[in-house]
Amino acid sequence: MKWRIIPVLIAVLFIGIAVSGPTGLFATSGRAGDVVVICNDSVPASSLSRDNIQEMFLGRKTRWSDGQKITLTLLKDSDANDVFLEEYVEKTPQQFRDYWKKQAFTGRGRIPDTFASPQEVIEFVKNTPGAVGYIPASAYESQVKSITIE
Amino acid sequence: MKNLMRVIFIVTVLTAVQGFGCIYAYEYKGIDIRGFISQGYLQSSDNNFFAETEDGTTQFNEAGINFSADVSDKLRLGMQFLARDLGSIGDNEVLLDWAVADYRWQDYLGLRVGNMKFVHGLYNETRDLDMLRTFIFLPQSVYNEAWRESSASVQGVGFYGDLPLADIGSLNYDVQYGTINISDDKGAARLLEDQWPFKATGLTIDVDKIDVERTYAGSVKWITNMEGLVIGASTYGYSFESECTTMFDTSSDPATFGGLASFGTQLTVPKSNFDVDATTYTASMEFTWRNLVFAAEYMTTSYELELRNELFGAGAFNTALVAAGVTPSANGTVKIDEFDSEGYYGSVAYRFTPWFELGTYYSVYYANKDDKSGSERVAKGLDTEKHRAWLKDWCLTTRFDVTENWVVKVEGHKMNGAAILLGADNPVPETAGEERYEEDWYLYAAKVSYNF
Repeated sequence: MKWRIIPVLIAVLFIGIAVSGPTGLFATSGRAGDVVVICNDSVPASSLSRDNIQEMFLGRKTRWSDGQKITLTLLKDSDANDVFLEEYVEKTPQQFRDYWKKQAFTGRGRIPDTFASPQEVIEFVKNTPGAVGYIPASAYESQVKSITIE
Repeated sequence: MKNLMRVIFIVTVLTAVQGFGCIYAYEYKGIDIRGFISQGYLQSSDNNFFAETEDGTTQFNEAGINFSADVSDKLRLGMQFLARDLGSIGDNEVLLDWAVADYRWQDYLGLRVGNMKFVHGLYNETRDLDMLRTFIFLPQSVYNEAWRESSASVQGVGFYGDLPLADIGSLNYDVQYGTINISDDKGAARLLEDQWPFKATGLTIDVDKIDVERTYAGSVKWITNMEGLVIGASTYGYSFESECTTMFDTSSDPATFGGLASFGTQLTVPKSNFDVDATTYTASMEFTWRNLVFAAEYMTTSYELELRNELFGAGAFNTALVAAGVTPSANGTVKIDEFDSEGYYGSVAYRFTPWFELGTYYSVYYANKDDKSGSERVAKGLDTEKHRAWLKDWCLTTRFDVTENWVVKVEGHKMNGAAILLGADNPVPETAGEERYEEDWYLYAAKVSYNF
């Protein structure tokens, strides 16, 4: 008797899957144009592949080609954050947050510094050797080095 | 002393929750401080699932706090304290969950020394972290709760790294060697007591001491170039010796013990040694597509058990064993045939909105894959009910992320079988003819957790 609700819940699950997606009823993120990947002047790279970006922001690639440590910078919940994570890291914001919490709570890594505004990200990246971050294209004014995505 | 430690620990975690603004981790002079705390409720229709769940129980919680810091570009130090309770397991004793010096020389090679989280399958490292998964209970076919504290961390040395594989993705590996702690009064010891094969002769054991000789673990994850697909394989092995107080139930032999037998008197006889050698192999697959996550794992464990008791070397017990087809050596050693357990599951979880997720899995476990029906188990006197040989679990979970830090989950399990349940939690019924373990039963769980 208690378990008669299960078929109903399963039906809800599959209906949800069917009607969701990037433009569906249950879509979780909006799009707000492009993002720009920025880095500190000390970074030797001027372009990176999408795979490189993903490896860096998942902590699998930790050094630039000159041996300098990669210091990641994150932007707090925003449309630009959602777009960057989905396009380049291939994770939803929730999955990305859980990924880094897993690193922190299992002794495998430290959650990157997270800032509330693009201006704070720019300031941190400008002043931290080896730093890399992302900001909305609309906030970029060539005051910091940008990286071309191949 | 233990109680004082618990109080200090809980107060520290709660103070951290209060004082750190409840949203983000606290950083003090370059040291990151993070923590979590969870409280659950369990209720089962029949059978006690590692606690007195038939009556409903709140003895189901976890709390942890960790500290970590980058000492240099390549060296990081960290440690985590953890307390948990699940019925008689854990009992909120504060433990050093992990404490690691991590030297990442290159992306392809890093070294860890200390107490490391044990690599096994997709989720073993995060099984104490309720907020990182959809389900309250991971599938028991691969992540047995009784073994949780024993397989939480390994004390020793480990190597790890990420190897790029050009166009086919990358490979993440971990190798660990050292030792694990197996407590003589927790789940693993209770499981061992349930495996004692001579209950029918009136002999029972109580594990006093467990010495782990060696432990190794290895894990490889292939992060394929197909978006979201991860394929993994892992193995671990351990061997340990246990020393057990051994009792003889006189009521099993009323002809010899007469009056003593009528009172059910237990006689303490010479101690037994129960040695275990186990090797586990696990194959894993996880596929993430947007908000949908599929996972499937298969695990098999080979056990070799060896028993020693001087009673087996000569006399009435020796005669009984020989008659049963078992021939002990002169010093009373009995080598039990190797057997393999088997478990597998498939799960799917979907996040409908940032705050709501639904998940389900079907999990199957066989204590001995050559005796899936349980017939041999009953014939050998290991159990009186065949359904102790398996556990089939269909689980349905709802998860609500109330905020980024608060998570509420409600979960139901439709169970068939009673493998992995502990005899210590499910005593022999006083009424003759009543089943000790129900074959079909339900388990309900609810849990609230907070992390910062």
